[in-house]
Amino acid sequence: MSSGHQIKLYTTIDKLLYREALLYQLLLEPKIDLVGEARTGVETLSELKGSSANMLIIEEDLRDNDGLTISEMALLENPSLTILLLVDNPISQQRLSIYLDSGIKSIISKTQSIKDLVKAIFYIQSGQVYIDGEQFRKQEQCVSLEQQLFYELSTREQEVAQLIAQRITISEIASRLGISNKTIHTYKERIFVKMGFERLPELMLFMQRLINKREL
Amino acid sequence: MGTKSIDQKPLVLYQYENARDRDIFESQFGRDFTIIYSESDDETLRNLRQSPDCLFLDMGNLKTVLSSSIFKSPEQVALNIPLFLLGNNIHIDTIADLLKARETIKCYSKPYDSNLIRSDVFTAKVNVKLLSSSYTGVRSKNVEPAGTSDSKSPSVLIVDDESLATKYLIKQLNRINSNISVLMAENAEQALAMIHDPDMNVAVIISDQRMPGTKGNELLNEVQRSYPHIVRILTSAFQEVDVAIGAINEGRIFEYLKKPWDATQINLLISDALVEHRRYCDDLIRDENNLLSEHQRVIEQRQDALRAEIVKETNGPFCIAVLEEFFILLSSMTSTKITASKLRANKEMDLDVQIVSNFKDELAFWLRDMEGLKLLDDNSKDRIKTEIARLLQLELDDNDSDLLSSDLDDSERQLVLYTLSVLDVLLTSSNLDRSAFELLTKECGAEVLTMGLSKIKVFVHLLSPISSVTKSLLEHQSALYSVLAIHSLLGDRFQWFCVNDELKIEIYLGNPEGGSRELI
Repeated sequence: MSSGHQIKLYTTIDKLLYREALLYQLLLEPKIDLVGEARTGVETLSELKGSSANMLIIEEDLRDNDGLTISEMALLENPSLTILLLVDNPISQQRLSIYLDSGIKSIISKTQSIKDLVKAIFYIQSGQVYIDGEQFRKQEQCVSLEQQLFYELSTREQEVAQLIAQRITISEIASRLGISNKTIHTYKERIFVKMGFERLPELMLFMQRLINKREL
Repeated sequence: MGTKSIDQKPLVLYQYENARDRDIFESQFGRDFTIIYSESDDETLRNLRQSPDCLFLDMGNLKTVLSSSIFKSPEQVALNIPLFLLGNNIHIDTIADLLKARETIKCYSKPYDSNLIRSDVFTAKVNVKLLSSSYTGVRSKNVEPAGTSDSKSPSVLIVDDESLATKYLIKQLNRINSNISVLMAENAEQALAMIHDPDMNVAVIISDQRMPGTKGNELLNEVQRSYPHIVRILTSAFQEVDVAIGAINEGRIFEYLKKPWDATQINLLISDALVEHRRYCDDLIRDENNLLSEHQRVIEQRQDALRAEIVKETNGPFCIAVLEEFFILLSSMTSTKITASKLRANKEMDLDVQIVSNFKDELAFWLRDMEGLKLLDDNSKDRIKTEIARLLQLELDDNDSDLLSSDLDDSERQLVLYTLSVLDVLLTSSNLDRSAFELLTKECGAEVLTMGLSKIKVFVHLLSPISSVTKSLLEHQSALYSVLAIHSLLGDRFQWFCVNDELKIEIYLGNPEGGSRELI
């Protein structure tokens, strides 16, 4: 999996709210440059020609044409374009075969998490096909896995995690618990690594969900 | 869409030596695959009869794999089940040897990335061809059919930044065999430029790994994507095992060559590579031809079924005549990619039955109301055309029926409203609206409502390979049919043109000077 160069991403998603929510997340990735966006397939095809995009994320269910057809048209022009198709629900292996046969490199369902999408983006950047096992698994496993990981943390780590999630500064946490800043930093790193988080909002969302569950 | 039974998990045959390895494998993949465990070559050979989607060999030492009976067994070779090798400390020599022995092989050095392995197994299950060297999802416009490239003999391209050494090698090669044309490039950009040039007819590329700018494995990767039939060879003076493994797994190279080379060795390699190239091209062309002829068969049946259905519903020749024109138009358009999986899906889901009955439903307007519309006189046609043009220029939708002039009778009103809705469907599909129409005065003095530079694009149509029957496809196609029908009714007052799959419509407001309609 080569990861040398910048990903120049073009995004084709019809609904603005969804598209923006996605783009705000992708903006945080330093290796991804957002070079264009569109709502329809026709717009995409006319803009792709002149753009520097090397990757396209496109919805299957577009207003004017289906994502598969637009992808095929785009690949005719530029066979090196890496395409990721966004579908509404997990698809059958038969449909998967059709998409892959047409040159699409990965299919992600909107029922999956943003992390799955980002992971797929990085796997396919050099042109490899990436099929996500998540598509074929039952859904329940994801959230409970994170919970399991949380309870495997030490008591101290769990404590620190909760405080970090409340956006309390490292120094404040250090003074509250009577330990050094450096130790808190070490805890923080360990927590993020063990839980598989990359950014603070992920920890915050997880903690909030945990609280919500407890209150039920 | 039809409901399908739950897709089965991939069936994986896993041979191991070490119980601990087995446990790790199970914990990683037990959820996602159905695993058959095997501890010996014999067991594996027996289990091969269950036709697993792939075979994993988890041995400490990959060298033993090469000499194992699994590798050489005729059953295994015949079944061509993809081989996935898991190993510790894979040695570069082993990799080169493995490549020589097999086509579909993947190597994972421990600790492996389980996501990648999972993905490769699913790929093997869903479409094993995706794992092979010469396959890619892209239409092979770069492949020449056998026989037409007689004028240009295939050439070999060597990419290396050490140009002096390369020139020397080429001289030696020419001395051994003057028949093969050997080209040279110093970096990836030059190499790609030569590959893009059809006159060069590059059939084999030998690239060094370490070059300034784009590295050898990245270049070969890129070549694989756009020109999968070009045989790819990576060379290096350094023991870059990870790079080699990546090149095998991702770039699907033919061979990995260690430097220093000698000319005799390279010459033999080139001969083998050219044979492989011929094989790739023949396979690609044969597959395409098979797909093309099957698709032809499908669309001929589809047309017959549509004709039969339309004949049943109507008692006049009008709709049928338009249908024939419609078929001629669609046949002149390019089709989206014909792939084996689309054809299979079409057959399995019996899509043509859906296509025919749904399309017939979309054409209800024509099939039911034709009688009233056929008997239009010239004045009637003029009124209709004028009203359509007038409402188009107002650029409002929704209020059409309120705005209609009271000069028209019921059937005329019907046709006007229907035409406007048809035009709206076509315009929206190409991201346009009624403002695309503008008034123009032609040289002959006639006023025309044209689309200017805007065009209605048609990407997929009823004679394309269809893998799902969507509402938008049916609406769009019935709108296209309607355009032809409306022209049939109104004559030259309402014209259409289609060039390069792009449709334009014109409405003549003054008396047309016998405007001609171009087909294609």
